[in-house]
Amino acid sequence: MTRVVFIASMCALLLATAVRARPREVSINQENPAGALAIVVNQANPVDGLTLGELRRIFMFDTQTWPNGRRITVVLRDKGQPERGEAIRRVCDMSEAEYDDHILFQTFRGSIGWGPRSIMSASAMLRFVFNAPGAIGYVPADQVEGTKVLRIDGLLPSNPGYPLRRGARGR
Amino acid sequence: MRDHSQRSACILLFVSVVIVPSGVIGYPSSVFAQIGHEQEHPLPGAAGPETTLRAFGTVEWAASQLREVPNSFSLGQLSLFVTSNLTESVSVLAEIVLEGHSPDTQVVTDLERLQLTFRLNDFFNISAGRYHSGIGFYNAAFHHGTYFEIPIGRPRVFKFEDDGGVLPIHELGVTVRGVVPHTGSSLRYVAEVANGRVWTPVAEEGTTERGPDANDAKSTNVGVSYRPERWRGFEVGTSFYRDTIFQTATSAVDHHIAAIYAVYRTPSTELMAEWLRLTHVTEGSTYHNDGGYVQASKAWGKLRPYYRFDRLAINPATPFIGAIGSYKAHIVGLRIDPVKWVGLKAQYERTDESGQYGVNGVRTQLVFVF
Repeated sequence: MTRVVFIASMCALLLATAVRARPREVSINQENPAGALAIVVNQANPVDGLTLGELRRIFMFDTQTWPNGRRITVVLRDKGQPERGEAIRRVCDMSEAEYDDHILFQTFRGSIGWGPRSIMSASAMLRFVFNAPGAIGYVPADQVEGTKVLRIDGLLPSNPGYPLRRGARGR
Repeated sequence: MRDHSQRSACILLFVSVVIVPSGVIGYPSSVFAQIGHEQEHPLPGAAGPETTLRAFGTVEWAASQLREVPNSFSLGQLSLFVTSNLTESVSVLAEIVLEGHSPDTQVVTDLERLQLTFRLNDFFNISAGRYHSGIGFYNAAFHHGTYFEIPIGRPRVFKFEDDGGVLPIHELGVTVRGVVPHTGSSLRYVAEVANGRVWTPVAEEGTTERGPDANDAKSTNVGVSYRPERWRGFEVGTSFYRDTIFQTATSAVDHHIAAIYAVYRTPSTELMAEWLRLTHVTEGSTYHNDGGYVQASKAWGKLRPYYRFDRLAINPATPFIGAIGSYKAHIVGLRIDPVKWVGLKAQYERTDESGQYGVNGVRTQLVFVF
């Protein structure tokens, strides 16, 4: 009897550890329609939404501070990852190589203090945005956790017509 | 003893099945983000200055129909571009250029830019140090970055001072830039105050400011530009520069430069046009000089043909720059970017300069970033 209880206890402990190791995923909705990209910011960020043009200006470093004066930190996926090129194409309407050229040119002009940060995974992206009050990044819409999702052109990723879903026409 | 063991086992089971999972569910999800990851990906400046070094290199070959000018390979500038973020708001930029001027391996080192920038917000960014003056568009856009220039060489009016240039390309002072509020990033301004150019005869080296000002008069430059969101890549702007240059201890020349430009630049298309009027005013005389260019290029894959019309009209009587002479050129060429960060340009030039008209020449240039 003691042995059974002991084994059951150890199993329960192991199960609890496994649950604790995997972050509880909370979706703002239960579906990710057609590969929608959620734009995420720190929960303390007072901005609730952006137009696609404003988002583009942020990613292109034409706008570098939030309305509250905090420096914007643009966070992208690591170079070589398809998620990086996909986000650049959808938001900035250019290829990754063109974007890199643009960032280097603006840095060379002295217009940019530092370029975008590079992050290896969606979970790392969420951790960075959670910890950095001025950060803005992106994750698949079904992987949002602990961050605020911005409305783009007034729409959430689950809304029809959301501009950052696969196949949507950018401006 | 057996009861004690069973009681302990039950307590352990209760703890592991009930208490621990409750604590797991009860933890805010934010804790998962914080635990063990607070030091990941620090923000700029959080762990000390982050310094990045890039370099821009150039190798050239040129030939001309002039017999006295042999065809030749040459090393262009090696531009070392250093940036460092001291904090979220403060950064440093330095551009050190090494140029080979002589037949041997000697190089001349120039500190072309050194500026510390404080970025308060999008509306106010202030830099102090040595920078490229915000006259017109080309100078503050391309600096010494031959990689970013589509044709070979700068427009004649934007030549560097030590290369027979007519403009104060470099300044030592303070520059303020930003977005005009309530314009949605469309309207931008620049305002600068600096020592101004130290004018010496064109043939001499060191015609730019590096040390203390030669007089109390300071140069000023103001400009505005407009980038409509509806027409991405399009920009128009104007600037006005003035300085007082002393010819002698008692006579001075008022030096004005008015510039206007329109550019359309996307990754695949570049259309640029600028016109500048340089005015020198002495006691009783006013000398007008004009310079400008029109430039167009279009990329088809890795190939990018281009054309530039380049013009500089100098009044020979103008103080300081009259001896430079006028210039006109038609340039047509092709740029190929075989791999990322490498460009190869080849162009044909037909120039009128220094009493020689219709001189034909070819130039090639290899540019790279590393």
